[in-house]
Amino acid sequence: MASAGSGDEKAAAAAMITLISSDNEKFEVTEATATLSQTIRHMIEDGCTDGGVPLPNVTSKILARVIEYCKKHATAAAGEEGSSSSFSDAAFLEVDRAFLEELEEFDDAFLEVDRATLFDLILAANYLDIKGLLNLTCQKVADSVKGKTPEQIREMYNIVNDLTPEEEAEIRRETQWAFE
Amino acid sequence: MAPPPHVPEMLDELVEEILLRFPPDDPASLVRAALVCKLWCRLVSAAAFRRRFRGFHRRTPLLGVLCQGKYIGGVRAGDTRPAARFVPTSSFHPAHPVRDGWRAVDARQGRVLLECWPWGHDRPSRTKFVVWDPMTNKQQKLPTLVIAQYVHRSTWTAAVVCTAGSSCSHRYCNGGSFMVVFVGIGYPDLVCTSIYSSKTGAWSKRTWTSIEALQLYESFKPAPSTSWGMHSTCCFVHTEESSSMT
Repeated sequence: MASAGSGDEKAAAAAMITLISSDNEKFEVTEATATLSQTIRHMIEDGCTDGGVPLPNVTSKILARVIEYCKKHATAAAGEEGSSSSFSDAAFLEVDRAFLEELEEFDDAFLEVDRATLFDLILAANYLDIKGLLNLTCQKVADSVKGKTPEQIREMYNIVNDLTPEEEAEIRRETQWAFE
Repeated sequence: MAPPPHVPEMLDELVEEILLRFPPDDPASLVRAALVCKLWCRLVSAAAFRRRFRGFHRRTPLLGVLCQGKYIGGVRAGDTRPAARFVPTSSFHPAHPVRDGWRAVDARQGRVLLECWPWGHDRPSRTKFVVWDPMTNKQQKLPTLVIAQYVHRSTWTAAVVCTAGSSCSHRYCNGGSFMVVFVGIGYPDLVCTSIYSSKTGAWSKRTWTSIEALQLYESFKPAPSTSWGMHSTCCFVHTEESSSMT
């Protein structure tokens, strides 16, 4: 890392980080992409990324998806920063809107995964502390149970009902309005 | 039929992250979530979750509007008894949406101020108020207020407000202490004020203020989300409900 030249910002921006998945697959990403993860950002700040960053909680399949997300969002962030000085306000807003629309489309497509993958992405987003991804994936789950009955939610997410009939009856009695 | 995909077990804190993102204008969805399993029930019932939920969504959900109409059971011609009716605009439905014999005077921070019929036109007239929480269906009766003889019905109004005033975010004060501020204009051009405090359980002594204080009355306008006063037909109930389960 010392060779990157600690004072040279451009060199630091182009620096590459190696991420190692639980099944030992290596992914090389730019620092800008990697630092969308607060966990990795702290590791870089502490200078513990030499020889790669092992991520024992994330499989290569999920890590590839996470990197895909981070690349897209890091590009969008860089685009916003870079464009502010070279466009007029109106042009900047136009570019900004285009970016956001593109990002939204990307996010929608990104979430087209099965439930198991979605949950794995939530776990990875939490472990890697990527706020945008955690928000996106948790919102997707919350939206998926919209209008569903407790039974349907349990079935969707393999949840065992451990409430006693008495407890269930009490909740229903207290909140009768929710079932009318 | 293919077995459902294996879904990894979720950490408690991540289930909470998901529950936090339930729509704030659909409180029934949180109730249904509580019936999924013990963990989900425990999470949505916790006071800490309610605080986070309110903080996360920031804006206060509109649960419904109060409409002022006539007594539902009125069969006699000329029955002028009023009825305040809670009309939901969300999935929340109060246990008793119709308050026959009551007039909605004000609604703020999840509390509704109702005036009891019949109101006398005698002078000095007396009036009875209750403060009603549609979410919990709890109500608190206020002691009868004797309105000064020079204050006519058409000139007075009242508001129910959180005691903490502007220092409170009003996100967690539902069920806390409140005040009812009564203001009327009396002859000749004096403003009569009386304040009820839920802490003391009593109305303060009437105070009279001079004509200049009419400006106070002018500035005592309803908040954008709340309409009140003699001629209002609707009071909007904003409340930060998420779950009232224990």
